[in-house]
Amino acid sequence: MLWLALTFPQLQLDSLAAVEEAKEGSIARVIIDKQQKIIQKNVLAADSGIQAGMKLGTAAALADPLTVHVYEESFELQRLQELAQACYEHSADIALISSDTLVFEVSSMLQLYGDFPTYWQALSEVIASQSLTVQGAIAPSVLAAREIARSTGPNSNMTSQFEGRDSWLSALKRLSIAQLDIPFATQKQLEHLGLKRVEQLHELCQHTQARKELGVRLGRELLLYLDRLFGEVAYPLNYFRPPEQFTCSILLDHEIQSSVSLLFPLKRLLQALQTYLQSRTKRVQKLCLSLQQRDGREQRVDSSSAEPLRDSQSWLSLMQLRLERVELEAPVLGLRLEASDLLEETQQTQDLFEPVAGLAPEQLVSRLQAGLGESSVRRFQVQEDHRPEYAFSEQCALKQAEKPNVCDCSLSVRPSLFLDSPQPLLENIQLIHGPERIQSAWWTDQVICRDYFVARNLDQQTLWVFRDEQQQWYVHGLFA
Amino acid sequence: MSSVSAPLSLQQLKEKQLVWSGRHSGLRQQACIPSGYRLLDQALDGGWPRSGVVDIETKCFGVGELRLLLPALESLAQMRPLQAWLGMPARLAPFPFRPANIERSLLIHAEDKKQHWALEQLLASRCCSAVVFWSKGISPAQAKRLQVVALESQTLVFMIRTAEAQISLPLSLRMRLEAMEEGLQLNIFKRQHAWPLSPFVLDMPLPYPKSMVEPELIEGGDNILRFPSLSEMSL
Repeated sequence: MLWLALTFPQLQLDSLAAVEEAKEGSIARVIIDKQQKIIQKNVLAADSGIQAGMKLGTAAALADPLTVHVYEESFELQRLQELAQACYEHSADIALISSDTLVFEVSSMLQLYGDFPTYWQALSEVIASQSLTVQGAIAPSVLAAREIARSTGPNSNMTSQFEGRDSWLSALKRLSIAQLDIPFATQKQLEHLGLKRVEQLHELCQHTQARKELGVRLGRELLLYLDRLFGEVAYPLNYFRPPEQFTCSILLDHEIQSSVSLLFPLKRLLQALQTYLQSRTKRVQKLCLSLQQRDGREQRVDSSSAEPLRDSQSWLSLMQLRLERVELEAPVLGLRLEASDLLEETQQTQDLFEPVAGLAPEQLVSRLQAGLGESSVRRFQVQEDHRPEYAFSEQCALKQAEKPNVCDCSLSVRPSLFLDSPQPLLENIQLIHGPERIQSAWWTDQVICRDYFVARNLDQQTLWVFRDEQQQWYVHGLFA
Repeated sequence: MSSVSAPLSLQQLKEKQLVWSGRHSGLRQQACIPSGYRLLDQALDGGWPRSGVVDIETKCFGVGELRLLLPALESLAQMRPLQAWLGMPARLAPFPFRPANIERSLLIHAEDKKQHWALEQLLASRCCSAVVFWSKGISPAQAKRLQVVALESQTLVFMIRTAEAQISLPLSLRMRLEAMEEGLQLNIFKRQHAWPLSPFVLDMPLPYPKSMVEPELIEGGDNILRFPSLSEMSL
C-alpha cells in the first residue's frame, strides 16, 4: 500500500484568516499554544521576524499590530473532518492520524484514476479551494509519510514526490530525531546516547541485540513507533466515514433581527444540503435550524415536510412559511442547519396524462403545516363507538390511519355538524323524526342515555336534539 | 334611387352577428358538474361550474347547505380525490360522506386572518378538486383574487356565508338559500355570462333514510313518548 500524507501546518491560522481577512484586511496573525509560544504564523508575521517557538512577548515586540489566537485542537480536528468530507468525493480511504494530517490510500485510487497526476489534480483542486498551506509526502508507511510531509516545504511538487517514491527511506533517514513525533524526554535520552539522525536509529534497529537494548532503555512504545515508522508493522487506521447526519453552519457578518431576512443565508445552507443529499441519493423529512445568538444561546426552529425532500427550493419555500411564524428572541449571529434521519430515495412516478400538474397531496399538507402549525391540518378518524360524539375524531393528516375509516352511516341519522358540546335547547321546535335511543357506555363514567330526535326550529334549521334521563332537552348538531 | 331592402329574418341577423344571444355566447364555461338535483341542473344549464367560486348565502347554518353540495362533491372526487374543508363553524362529522371521501378529506383549522392564505395554498397546489369554505367576510378584492386562482387551478370553491349586506362580488355564481317548509328555496341572483334566475324551491331529500317509518300520530291521543328510568329497564 502506498500512502499520501497531507499535513496542514497552519490549519487554524489559515482557516481563521480566510474568514477574517475578507473583512479586516491582512495583519500579522499568530497562534500560540498553552505555554504562550508561537506555533503558527502568517506571512506578515514571518516578515516581521516572528518564528515558531518564540515567546508571545517577543513576538508582540516584533510586530504591531499583532492578532493572537489560542490554539484549539478541537477546531483543527473539526476542520480536518470537513476537509476529509470534501475530499471523500475523490478518494476512498482517508484517515485522520493527528490534528494536522490526513492520509490517503493511493495505490487503489491509481487503478481508478490511471495515473497519479490525474488523481492529484482532483485532490489538489479541493484543497486549493480552501486556501490552506499544505505539505505532502508519499511513502508505504503511514508514519513515514507524515514525518516526511511535516519536514518538507509547503506546496511541494507532489508528482515528482510520487515518481521518487522508492527513495522514501533515504528521505526518512535524512530527518533528525527532533523531527519525529516522539516525546521530548525520549528525544533527549536518544540525544544522550549520541543518536541524532533517523539513519542511526534505522541502523540500530537492524541489529536484533541493539534493538532489544533500545527497548529496555527507552521503553516499548519507542520500538512500536519505530516499527511503524519503518513500515515493519502496519499503523492502525480508522478510516473516515461521512457522517450520517448533515450539519452545516454559517456565521453572519452582521446581526439579523427579522426572521424574513434569514432566508438569504438559509438558502446557502439548503444548497449545501442539496449537494450533500444528491451525492448520497438520500432525502430528508425533517430539518432543524438553530439560530445562534450573541450570548451563545440558541433558538431552535424545526421544520418538517410530509414527504421526504431533497430540492433546496422546496425546502426554502417550506422554511419561509415556517420562519414567518417565528418570533426571534434575540438578534441572530449565526445559523446551523442539521438533518439526521436520511431516507432512501424512492422513485416517484409522474402520471403522464395528468392534465393539471400540481403538488402532491403530501407537499400541500407540509406547506399548510408550515404556515399554520402541525396540528392545523387534520383528517377524519372513525371510531367504533355508539356514542355519536365519540364515533369520530380528527387526527393529524400525516398519521397513518390506525384502522380503515369505514363507517356505515347510511342506516342511522347523524348530522353533519356537531356542536362542541350539547347546548340547552332554548327555542320552540317541531319534532320531525325520532326517537332514536342511544344508551351506551354504562361500563364507564360517561354513561349516556338519550333519545335523539330530528327537529326543525322557526328559522327552518334542521336540528339534532336529544332528551336525557332528566327530561332536559339539548341541541347536539345541525343537519347542514 | 335607393332600394328598400327586405327586412332580415332573426336568423339572418344572427348570421351577420348583429344579434347576440347571451345564453350561447361561447363565453359560458362549457364544463359543468351535475349537481345531483334535476331542477338545479336545469336552471344552471347543466350544473355547477367546473371551477371558480360559488358563493352561498344563508341566514343560518343547518338548512341543508351541505346536502346541496354533497352529490357534486362526490362526482368531483372522481377527478381529483382530495377535497378540503376550511373554517368549519362546528365539528364537521364524517357521517354524510362516502368512505372514500372520508379518507381523502382534509380538515383545516386556521385562524381567521390565515384562512385566505390557507385557501390560496389549497388552490395553488392544484391537487384538490373542491374546497368548502365557511367564510367570515370577504372583500371584493379578495373575492376577485380567489376567483382567478380557482379558475386557474381548476378547483371549485363553495363559499358558505351567513347572509349580510354585500356589494357585488366578481364570482362564478352567487345564490341565497332560504329554508322553507317544503324545501330549500334557491335564489340565484348572479351567474357569470348568464342571466340571474328567479327564485325556485328545491325539494331536498330528508336527512334520514326513507326506510324509517314515521311514527303515526294518534289524533287527540297522548303522543308523548315517556322516557323510562334505568330502574324500569331490567338489564
